[in-house]
Amino acid sequence: MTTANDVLSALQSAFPGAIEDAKVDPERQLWATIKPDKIVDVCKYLRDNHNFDHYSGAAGVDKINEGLFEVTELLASHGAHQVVALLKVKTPRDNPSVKSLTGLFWNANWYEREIWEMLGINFEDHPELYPLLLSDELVGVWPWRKDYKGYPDYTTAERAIERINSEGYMEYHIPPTEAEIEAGTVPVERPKYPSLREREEMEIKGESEMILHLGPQHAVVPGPFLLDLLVDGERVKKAFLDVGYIHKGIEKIMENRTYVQGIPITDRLCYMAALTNNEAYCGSVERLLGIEAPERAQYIRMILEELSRIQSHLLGTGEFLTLIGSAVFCPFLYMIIDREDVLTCIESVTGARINHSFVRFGGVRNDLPDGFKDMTLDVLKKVRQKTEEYKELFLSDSIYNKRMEGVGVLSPSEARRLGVSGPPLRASDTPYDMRREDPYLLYKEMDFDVITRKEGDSKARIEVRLDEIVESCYIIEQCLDQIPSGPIQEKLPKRIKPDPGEAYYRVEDHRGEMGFFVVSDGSDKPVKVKARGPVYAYFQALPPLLEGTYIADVVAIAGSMDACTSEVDR
Amino acid sequence: MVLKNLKMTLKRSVSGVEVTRLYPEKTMDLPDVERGVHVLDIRKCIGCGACARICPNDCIELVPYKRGNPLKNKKQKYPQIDYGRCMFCGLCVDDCPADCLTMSKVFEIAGWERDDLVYSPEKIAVGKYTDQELAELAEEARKAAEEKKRKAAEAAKAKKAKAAKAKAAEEGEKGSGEKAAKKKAE
Repeated sequence: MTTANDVLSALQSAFPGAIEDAKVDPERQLWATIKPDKIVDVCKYLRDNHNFDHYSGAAGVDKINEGLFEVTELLASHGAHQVVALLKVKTPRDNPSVKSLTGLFWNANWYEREIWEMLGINFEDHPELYPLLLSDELVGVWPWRKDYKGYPDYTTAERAIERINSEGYMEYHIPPTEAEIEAGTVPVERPKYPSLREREEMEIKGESEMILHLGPQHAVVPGPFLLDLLVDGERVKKAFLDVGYIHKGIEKIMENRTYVQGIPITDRLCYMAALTNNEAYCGSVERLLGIEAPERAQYIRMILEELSRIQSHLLGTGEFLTLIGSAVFCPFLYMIIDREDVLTCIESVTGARINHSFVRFGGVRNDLPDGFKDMTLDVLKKVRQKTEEYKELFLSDSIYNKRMEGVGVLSPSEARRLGVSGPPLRASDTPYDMRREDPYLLYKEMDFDVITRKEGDSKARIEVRLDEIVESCYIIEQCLDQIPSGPIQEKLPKRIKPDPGEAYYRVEDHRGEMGFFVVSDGSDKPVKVKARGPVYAYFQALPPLLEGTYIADVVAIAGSMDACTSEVDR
Repeated sequence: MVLKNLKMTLKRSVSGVEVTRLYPEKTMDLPDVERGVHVLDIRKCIGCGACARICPNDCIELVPYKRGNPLKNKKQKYPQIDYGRCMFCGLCVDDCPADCLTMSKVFEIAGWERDDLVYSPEKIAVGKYTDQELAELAEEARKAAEEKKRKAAEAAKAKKAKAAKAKAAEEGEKGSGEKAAKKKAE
C-alpha cells in the first residue's frame, strides 16, 4: 500500500529542488509547496506513476500579508491508495499567474475558472477563462481578494438609467457613485471574453441546428440554472451550462464570521445535506485545533448522517420520478411519507427538520433523547420494507425500464475522467466511497458494503441510491447497538483560535465527496474556507454526458444525477 | 405487472397511515429540543450580551427593560430578538452563561408588519416580576444603595482620619528627626 511518505520520497527524488517544504499531516495527507514552473510536471508524474487520477479541486487563498496568492491543488486516487496530495503553488500578488492543469485533468476547468473570476489569478493555457458564477458586471473586481471593499450597492432603483444594449434590448444601467469609485468596488478594466450567447452562436454550423433553452426557471430543474442545448433535429449536439443564478458568496461570508458562527452558514450550502456539511466543516476545524470528538458524539454523528442520507436519497429518487413522467410513475408522495418519519427521528435529536446546525467542534449539540432507539428501529423497519417495495415496483415496470436502460451511460473510465463522485461514480463500477477510502468518524469499525453497479446508466444510479438506503439502515442499527455512554462534548475555550495552518477534511455526502479546506492565520476568523461540493462535479460532467442523446432523455439523465444548484453556486 | 402495482396502491390507501395533518386545529408533536421562539428567564439574565455577540446574523440587540431586576443594576439591558433575521441556529442558547435563554416549541410568529417580528424582552420573558415584587426589589435596592453610600462615606471618613493620623505621625517623625539632626549638629 502506498503511503504519503512513499509518495513524498518518490517526488523528492524525481524532482530535486522543486519541492520547497513538505509535510505529512495527518497520516494520509501530503502537503507540499511546488515551484510554480514545475507544477504541471509534478502532477503529470503523480498521475502517471502513482495513480493520482482523481483531481478533487483547487482552492485559491489570498495571503495579503505576504503579498502572495496560493493555489492549492487537491489530488487523490480512485481506490489505488488512500493518499491525498495537496500541492501548493505560490504566485506574486501584483501579477498572479499559475500554470493550468486542464491539459492533465479535464475537470480542472471549472475550479480554475472560479479561482480566476474570484481572485483574478490567471491560468496559463486554460482553454476557456470565462466567468462561471459571477455576473458579467462583477468580473474584474476580483471580489474574494482581501482588499476588496464590498459589493457595490446595485439595489438602489433611483439611480437606474434605461439604455439600449448592443442586441437591441432595453436594459437598466446603474452608474456607480463617487464613493464606490473611490472605494475601488467598480472594475477599472474588464477582461475581454465572448459572452455565453456569442459562444453558443459560434457553434451553430448549419440551417437545421438551433438552440433550445432549458431554464433558468424550469419545472424540471432542481433550482435555477441554464441548460442550453444545441440540437439538430431530435439529437443534442452540444450542451452549454450556465450557473451562478443563486450565488450567495457563502465562502466569503464565512471569512467574515468567527469559526463557530460559520456552522449555521454551512447548512445553507444545501439543505438536503445540512448534517454532512456541518460534519465536513467541523471536521476540518477539529483538525486545525488538533482535537477529536468523544466516542459517543462520533456515534451520534454517524447515526444522524446516515438518517440524513436516507431522507436525501428518498427525496432525490422521488423527485427524479416526477421529472421523468409525473403521471405514470409517481411514488413521489409515498417517498415523502417515508421521509417525514425519518425527519421526525432527526428532529427529535437536533430540534430542526431541515437546517440542523447540530455538529459542534469536538462534539455535538444534544444527546439522544429517551426512546430514540425504539423509534428509529421502527422507522428503519418501515423504510426497509418500503424500499424493497419500490425496487420491485421499478423492476416490474416495463415503461420505466425502457425509459431508463442504457440512457446516459457513463463508462468507468469516463466517469473517473469527468471527476464525478458518489452514486453516479459507484453506478459506473468504481467502488469509491469516502467512508472506506478516507475513513472519518468510526466508519472503519462498521460493517457495510459499498454499493456498485456495472451498467453506469440512469437506472443503475437510481438502484445504487435505493440500495444505499438499505445499507444505511444497517449501519444505523449497528451504531444503535454499539453506542457507548459518556460525554458528548470536548472541553473547548470560549474563543476558538486555531494555530496558523491549513486543514482539509472530506466526508461522503449523500451525493459524493464533500470536502472543506480551511486556512487559519491564528485569529478567530478563518482566512479562507473552500467548500468542495459533489454537485459541482456533476454539473461540470453534464454537458459531455448529454452530447449525442435525444432531447427526451435529457431530463432522465440530468435528473438521475440528483443535483442541487444551491451547492454549485454557493 | 399492472395488477401488482395496483395492489400496492390499494394497500397504501387502506393501510391507515395518517398522512394529512389537520394543521391549524391539530399540530404535530414537537420534541423537547425543538428550536422555536426564544424564552428568556428574566430573573436569571445577567445582561452580559454573549447572545448578541455570537449571533451570526446580528439579530439580537440589548435594550433597556423596565421590568428587569433593579437589585442587580438599573442600567442592565436585556436581549431583543428580530425574528425577521433569526435563523434559529441556537448558538445564542448554547453560549448563554446563565442558562437563561432557551428555545420553546412556538413557531407561529407571522405578523402583518416587519416590526411585529421584533420581539422585545417583554414578549419573550418568563418569570416576570409583579408590580409588588418590583416595588419591594426597588425598596431593597434603594436600601442597599443607601447602605453602600453610608458604608462608602464611613470608609471615606475612616480613610481620611487614617490619612490625617498618618500625616501627623509622619510630621511628628520628621520633627523628631529634625530635632535629632539638630542635636547631632550641636
